[in-house]
Amino acid sequence: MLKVLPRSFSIRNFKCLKELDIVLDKLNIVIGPNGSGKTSLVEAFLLLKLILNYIKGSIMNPFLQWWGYRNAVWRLNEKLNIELKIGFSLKWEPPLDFYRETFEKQTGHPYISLDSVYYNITVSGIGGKFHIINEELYIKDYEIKLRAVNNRIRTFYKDNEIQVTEITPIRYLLELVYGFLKVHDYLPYDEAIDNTIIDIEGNFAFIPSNILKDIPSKNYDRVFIDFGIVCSLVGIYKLIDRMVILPPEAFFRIREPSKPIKVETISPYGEDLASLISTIYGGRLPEHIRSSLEYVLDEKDIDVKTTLTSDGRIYLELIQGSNVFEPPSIPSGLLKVLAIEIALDINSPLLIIDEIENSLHIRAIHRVLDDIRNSDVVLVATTHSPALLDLVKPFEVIVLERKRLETIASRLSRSRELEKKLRKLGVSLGEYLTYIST
Amino acid sequence: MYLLVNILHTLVPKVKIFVEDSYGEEAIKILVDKLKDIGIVNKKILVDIKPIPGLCSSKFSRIIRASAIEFNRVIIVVDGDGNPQNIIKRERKHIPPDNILCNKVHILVNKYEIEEWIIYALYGKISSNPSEKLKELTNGIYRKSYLPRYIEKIINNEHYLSKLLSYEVVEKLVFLLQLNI
Repeated sequence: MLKVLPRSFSIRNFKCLKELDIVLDKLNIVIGPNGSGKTSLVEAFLLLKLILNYIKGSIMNPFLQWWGYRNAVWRLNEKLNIELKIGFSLKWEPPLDFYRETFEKQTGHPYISLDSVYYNITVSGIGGKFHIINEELYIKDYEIKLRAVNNRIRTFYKDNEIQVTEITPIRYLLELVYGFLKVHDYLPYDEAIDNTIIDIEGNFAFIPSNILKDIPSKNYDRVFIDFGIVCSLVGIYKLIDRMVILPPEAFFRIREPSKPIKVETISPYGEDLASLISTIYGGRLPEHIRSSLEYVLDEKDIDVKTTLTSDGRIYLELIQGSNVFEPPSIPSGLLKVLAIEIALDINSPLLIIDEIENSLHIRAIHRVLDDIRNSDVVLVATTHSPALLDLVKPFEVIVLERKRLETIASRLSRSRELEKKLRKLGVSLGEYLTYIST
Repeated sequence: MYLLVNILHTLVPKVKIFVEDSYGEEAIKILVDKLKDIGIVNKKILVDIKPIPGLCSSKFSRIIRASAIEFNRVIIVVDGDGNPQNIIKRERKHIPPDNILCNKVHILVNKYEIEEWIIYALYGKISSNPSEKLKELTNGIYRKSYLPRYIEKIINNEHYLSKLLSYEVVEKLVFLLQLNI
């Protein structure tokens, strides 16, 4: 199983975010006045997801989301490029019943663990056309950089070019994973024995051994490095593909019947949630998700199942004892908790929620935060709610401020000083940040 | 009529319990309902359980103070994380200085965390990091959100229930719920 942990996110020239660098903790509660850039931060993550969808061929231009590049770039200056950089760590262990022993024998290590991997993409939409200008994957642990330029993957070791690989028709690193490794389609088989194979959520990806050759083997074991590179490539793909983004409007579209399709993650507007429940759970929710819904509604015997309309579209039904409720009668808060719980259950590495408190009673917020704390997910959530702030630690809060048209981010201190100060002042964190802090 | 309902309402003995998280809230609610069913706790007592609104905050102190005015008894059940004495010292800071209110507030500290209740009732001996131990004992099945289900399993078995009721923290909780208030 490959575990990816997002650690940092940097944005250049996107909407009101000229230059924003954020170090990610387990919980990242983003606050700030209206217009400080909270939604832009959420949308920057969405842009990453849309770029992946563009590479997959499912959308023609990621900037259509903002009605064109002009509205997405800082100060409407189309000459500027937008740059996104996400840092992550990862750990991969060979599957128990597969080739764990062989892996350990070959590499001398039971697993792969990388502390600092960075994926960096620079894009532009000038002239109404979407361009990927630069795309890089830097594995700091090995000092190896993969750069996609002019339909080639160039490999650098300590900034010196060591290899150029041409894989027609691969143009981008993410395309290498999607189009060549085929994470979702391949299962291990005999022909893949000579290849590097990694397990991602029970599916297997492989990379033929001739793709990444001539990697310097002086300092590291060659096979080990091959695995590390593949893990990093699949890691960034997994991070973007399985990242769940929930804007406030997501929960309206969940109600609409949609075409039943195979889905493995939640789309930003939630329209495929019924298909997802059908794909993953066969239409019925697992007990631990139902128990959270029961807690939120303070009722027993709550269930959600999928049903088909007479014209073959799929939608959700809420079952409460012997009563069945169709989408217009399902509470918005319940749909929100359902989407969050599913994101946790599918092991989404990164969960982004804009205005997390919307539609949620404080009881539901308690449960959602408890479930998030007990999962492997990293949460980035924006809020205007002082009540929610009272449930988190000061160091889990990121403050966004607007200074001279630019957004500046700062994280509250990890030291206990602020906690002591709050006790002395007799106010909660939410009260302090809302009414006292300047 | 409205006045009469209000007067009757003030006569109903009321206990407020604060717990670490929403799973603890569900678990203790299941236990208290069972204790009322089998007559160990008076059915007339209104027991309201809520997760703590932010540990170590002055908001919690204010909420405890208000609860001590509104309720006959306030019980705080917290995790000891292996150092219960330290936690008691920390939680005492939340207790209102006023003598009458102070006597209404009681702190119950688990040695480690609430999962030790389950381990004690089902397996007998507790060790450090009970939730990890429980995961191990259940072949990786246990997760935090299953806590209420496990308590349900325990209360539906006489032997397990009597074991649970003999666990020190649970014994104290029952004692505080049984006293005339």
